[in-house]
Order: sequence, then structure tokens, then C-alpha cells
Amino acid sequence: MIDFLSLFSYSFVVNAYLAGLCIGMLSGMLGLLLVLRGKSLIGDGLAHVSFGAIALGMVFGVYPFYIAVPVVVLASFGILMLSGKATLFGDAAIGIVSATGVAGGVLLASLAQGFNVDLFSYLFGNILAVSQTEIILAATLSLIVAILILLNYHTFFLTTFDESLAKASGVNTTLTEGLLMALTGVVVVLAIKAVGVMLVSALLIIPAVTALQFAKSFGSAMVFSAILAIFTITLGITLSFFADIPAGATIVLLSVFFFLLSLVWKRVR
Amino acid sequence: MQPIISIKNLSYTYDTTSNTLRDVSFDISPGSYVAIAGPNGAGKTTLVKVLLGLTAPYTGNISLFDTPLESFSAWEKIGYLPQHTNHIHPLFPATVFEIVRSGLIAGKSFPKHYTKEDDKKTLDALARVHMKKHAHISIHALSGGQKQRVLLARAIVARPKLLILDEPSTALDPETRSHIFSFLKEEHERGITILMITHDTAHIGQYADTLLFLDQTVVFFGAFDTCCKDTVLRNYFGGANASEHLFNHPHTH
Repeated sequence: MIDFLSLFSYSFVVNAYLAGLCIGMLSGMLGLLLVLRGKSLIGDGLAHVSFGAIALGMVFGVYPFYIAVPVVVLASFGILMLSGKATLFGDAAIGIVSATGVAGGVLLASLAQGFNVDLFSYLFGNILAVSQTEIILAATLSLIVAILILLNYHTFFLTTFDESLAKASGVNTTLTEGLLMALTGVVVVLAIKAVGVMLVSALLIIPAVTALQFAKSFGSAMVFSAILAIFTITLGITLSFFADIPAGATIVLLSVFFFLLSLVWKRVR
Repeated sequence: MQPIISIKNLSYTYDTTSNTLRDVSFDISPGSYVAIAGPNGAGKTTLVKVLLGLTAPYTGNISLFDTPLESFSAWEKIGYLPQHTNHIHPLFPATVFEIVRSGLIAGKSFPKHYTKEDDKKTLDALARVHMKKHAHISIHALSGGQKQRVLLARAIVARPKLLILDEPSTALDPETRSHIFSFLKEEHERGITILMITHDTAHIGQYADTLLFLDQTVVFFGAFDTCCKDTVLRNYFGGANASEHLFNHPHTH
């Protein structure tokens, strides 16, 4: 039987842990902001857009993530602009942009025969198949996103707590919202490799709502959420390797398990 | 002396069929204590929101501290306590300290980070509303009145020159209400200009020196002690004794 330490002799497992560290940290931090702003499902919408963007990359023979990052960031701005229109209700904008992404992906897959298998592998992801290039890309983007979150931490706190108080304090709330959406777009694209288009929103939502069950301050909630996401991904990768089960689904089900555990803990506390 | 707030011919409408504010004009001098009263739907909260740049577009001219609203940036001079402070989401994770310190963000340039001096100012503000011992607990562990005091501490933490409050005493027990009014009196005596929306006209006459009675437009604007003799205001109440309506009925609607 392979022991735990021997895991690290496999480069693809080490790559997966490194990717998990980056994705977990960012999805935990940003997920908290999205959940508290009532925008949990934006991750789901942007993941669907990335499906179309990845198909576009495949059609043009460009590395899919190079296309997906700018397209998803633009789509996040699109959702923001549509949401601001008085003629649209709540999350209808997410639905419109999300459906456009999926429909575009399916159409491109149908028109350009031959890459259907590759494209559909992105639906459920596989963090154990992360390449060296993807690790470098993920680490670079994660560093940029983490720095931007930390530089804007107090602005994010106030705009999330009360937008009118933030505006009355001279905070540019539109710019802050735009930045949050753009960062979410980047993280969604990165997280697709780990859990796939279908499950990416779980990484943004579940660690955050779990952290909210016991965090007393905004700072501790953000740290708990990130640590929980990293721990869940790492554990998911390990279980997936030993039990030969899909990594993405394992990570998501572990997240749900920890969430249920937090509810029980809160009740018996 | 330059007015701290100057509003000329302000009109604002939510939709094309109704005027929420019509041709509103008034000036507020530094050091005033102004109570804004009026029936429900009179546009009191809207007036404050327009004044703080929270809603647009409007017609007319607004100046804050002698600067047109469009180019005003010295928001640290203004402390704001919004209406309905109990709307804080029950799962929002924030300590009392985090909330009060956020009142210091105005005037900071990017990246907006707090210093040790800011932490000290935060604790001082909490001490002034007798909430210092609760600094590091969750906001949700507090009663409605205590939450209101925390948000009041947030409004004054940056030592503003103008304090704008939207019904600060609504739904509070008499003791907390009395504490808040006494606290505002002290702040006023220190030179802060106060603009407060209130339904609590039974008490406000004891503190405020100026009344702005609004019903989509300005019905009365002037010294509190002259409002009962004002013909326009008396006519507004159907010729009855205005003092009875204003001061014996806490809710004017």
C-alpha cells in the first residue's frame, strides 16, 4: 500500500496540492464576500461562461485558459452592468450571461467536431491532471488576486457591510464591485481545473457559509473560509488518490460534510 | 459665515409621475442643530440621501462646506447614521470594533489601511458612547439600543464637523433614547453641526435650535421657538395650534 509520504514523490500530486493551495485560498476569501453580498450564484454563472470561452480557445487552437480569463472577466462586467439596469430583477443577469456561455460552448463544440471529449472534461475537472504550465499560471494569478484582496480588504468590508455607509464615506462602490467581479472571474477559471464547470460554485459558497457558522469577526471569517477551502481540497486530493475516485466530486462532498458538521456543532455548542 | 450646507431649488423624483422633492432651498450655518420633521413620504430620507450623494440625478444646486456636491471629497467631515440600523444581516461576521473603525475610511488614500492611532480613535469613540467594554464582541450579541450606540460611535469616530442622523431614536427604549439625545447635545456643544430626521417631535424641541418641516417641499424653516407662531405651518395643520401637533404628538403622520 502506498503510504502518505510517498504521495509527494509523484509530481502530479505535488502539482495538485499546489493548485489546491492557490485555488482554496482565493475561493475561500472571495466566496465570503460573494455570499455576504447575496451574490453566491455568480460563480456558477461565470463557470458556465468559461465553458463557452474554453470551447472558443479550442476552436482557435489557443490554450483555453488564455481565452477563458479575459472572456470570463468581461462576462462578470456584463453581469454587473445588466444587474444595474432597473429593467432586470436580481439574479436574472446571471441567468442570461450563464445561458449564453453554455449555449455558445455547445454550438462551438458541435460546429468544430473533434474536441468534444477535451471540452467535456472541463465539466467535472481533474486537479490531479494539472500541468506545470497551469501551476505557474495559477500561482502567478493567485498572487496578484491575493494582493488585490488584501490592498482592498477594508473597502471590501465596508461595501459588503453597508453600501450606503461606504458611499457616504466617499468609497467608489462601483469600482469596488467591478474589482470583486473581475477577481471572481479569474478565480472561477482557475477553480474549473479543480472541480469543473458544474461544481465550481460549491468551492466559492460552501467553505464561506461554513466559516460563517462560527466566525465572530470579518477577518476571522475570511481566514477560516480560506483555511477550510484549502484543507478540503487537500483532503479531497488525498482521498481521490488513494480511493481512485473523482477529485472534484470528493472535494465538493467533503465541503458539504464540513458544512453539516458546523451546523451540528453550532446547535450543540 | 459660509453655510455648511447650501441647497438651492433642489428637485428629485423617483419616477416621472411624482415629485419626491420639489424646489427645496435652505442654508444651514455651522453650529446649528436642525431637526427635519414631516409626515411619512415627505421626502426626509430622500433629502438626506441626495445630500450625501447616495441617489441621483437631481436638479438644483447642493453645496457642502462651500464645495459643489459633485466635486465634494472631504467625506471625513461628515458623520452619517442611517435609518433602520437593525437591518444588519444576522450572519454578517463583524465585531463592534471592526464596524466603528470603518468610519475612519473616509479621507484615506489607496491602499486604505488603518494605523494604531486609528485603533485608539476607535476605542475612544466607543468609550464616548459607553460601549468600550464590548469592543471585541460580535455586533449580533448586542441589543437594538446598543447597536444604535455602536453605529453612533462609527458616525463620530472621525470627529466630523457635520453629523447627519436619520431617525436615530426610532424603536429605542426611553433610556437609550435619552442617552442618545444627551450625547448629541454634548457633541453639539463641542461645535458639531447636527442635521437630524426625527418623528420624535415631543422631545426634539428641547435640543434642536432649528426646525425644517418638509412635505416634499419646505413648509417651514426657521428657529424652533418661532415655528408655533408661523402662519404657513399653522395653516398646514388646518389652522389648529401648531404646538399641539408638533410637540404633543410624537408621530406627526
